[in-house]
Amino acid sequence: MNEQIKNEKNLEINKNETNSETTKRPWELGVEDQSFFDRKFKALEYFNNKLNTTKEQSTESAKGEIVKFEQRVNNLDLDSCTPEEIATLKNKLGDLEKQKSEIIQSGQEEMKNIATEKANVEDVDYEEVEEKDGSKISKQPDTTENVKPEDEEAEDDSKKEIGKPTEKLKEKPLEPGDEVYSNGNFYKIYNIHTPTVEEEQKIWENGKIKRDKEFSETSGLLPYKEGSERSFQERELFEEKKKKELKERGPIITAIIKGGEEKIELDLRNIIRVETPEQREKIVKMQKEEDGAESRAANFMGIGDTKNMVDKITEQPGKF
Amino acid sequence: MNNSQLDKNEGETLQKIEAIYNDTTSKIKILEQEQKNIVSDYLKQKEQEKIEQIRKLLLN
Repeated sequence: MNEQIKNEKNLEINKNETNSETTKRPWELGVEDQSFFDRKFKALEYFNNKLNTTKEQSTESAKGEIVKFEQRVNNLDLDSCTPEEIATLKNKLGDLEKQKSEIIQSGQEEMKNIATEKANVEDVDYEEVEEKDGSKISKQPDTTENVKPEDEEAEDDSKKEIGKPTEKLKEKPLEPGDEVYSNGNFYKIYNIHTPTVEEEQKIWENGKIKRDKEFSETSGLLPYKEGSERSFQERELFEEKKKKELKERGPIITAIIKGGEEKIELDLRNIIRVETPEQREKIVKMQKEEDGAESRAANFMGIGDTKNMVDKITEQPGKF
Repeated sequence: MNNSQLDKNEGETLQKIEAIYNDTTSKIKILEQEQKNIVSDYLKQKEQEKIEQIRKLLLN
């Protein structure tokens, strides 16, 4: 994580509107000369990090509660506590833990949506200003009010595409041939396929070994049904989480890395659609700009393996 | 759209992001408290039962 971000975590958020011009918010530090796109990127990263920290702390706190609970049961020799009651209590805590994860995830997605949805429209404005002379001269953007009526638009398809707000393009479903960015690479969508129930089941079964490994690595416990009661319960939660993730994963997206031939599967949640060369340039530029750029992008997209991502992306520009 | 409108848009977007963050953390705090209450309520109940049990023993 960027050292600056770590330090900024300690800064208090200033909510006083009147002071906002003189007192910098944590995500504004060091981005004075950057575009709104960059500032939003930084704000998003800042709050994403804070939510990740909240999640970690909250999980630790819940674990601490269970430990304290077990200690008190033992110390007070509360023999009236039946294993069933304790299991029920732990299940309740587990359910709440799941709810917390979902709330955090939902919050992060909501923040990302706001930043990305607005980014497209506002970037159009910003780019138009930039194209004039480099200074910040404002220009009337192409909003829905400015778009020509349908019959006029039909006369010239290329004009229609240019005049259409980027936000509308964003709503267009992803199709084969679209360019996307994911995990440090640019790809061209090759195929989009929604798996059947049987296929989903097959994917789930095939993923068992991988899940066993991930569970053992993250929890330090033995896999499902091979360990203690705690291992069993935690694995149950883990399995539910993974099932939910699989459902949320959406269609199977096969893509080809740009400039290559290898086909790989992409996770819809980790994809950023690249609609214009300018957007691609911005992504490349952002990766290269700062030392901490990799974590900003990763947090922005909610993906990991950031070092790899940056290494790959710095190799890309020559190919396009 | 002029510069002041752009600034306003920027401010609104950042405020929305911050509002979602605040809302999310508030929800988490409520659930944390609920977890604590579940444990403490159960322990209180069990401790009370234990006290009653001891009292009965002493009376006998």
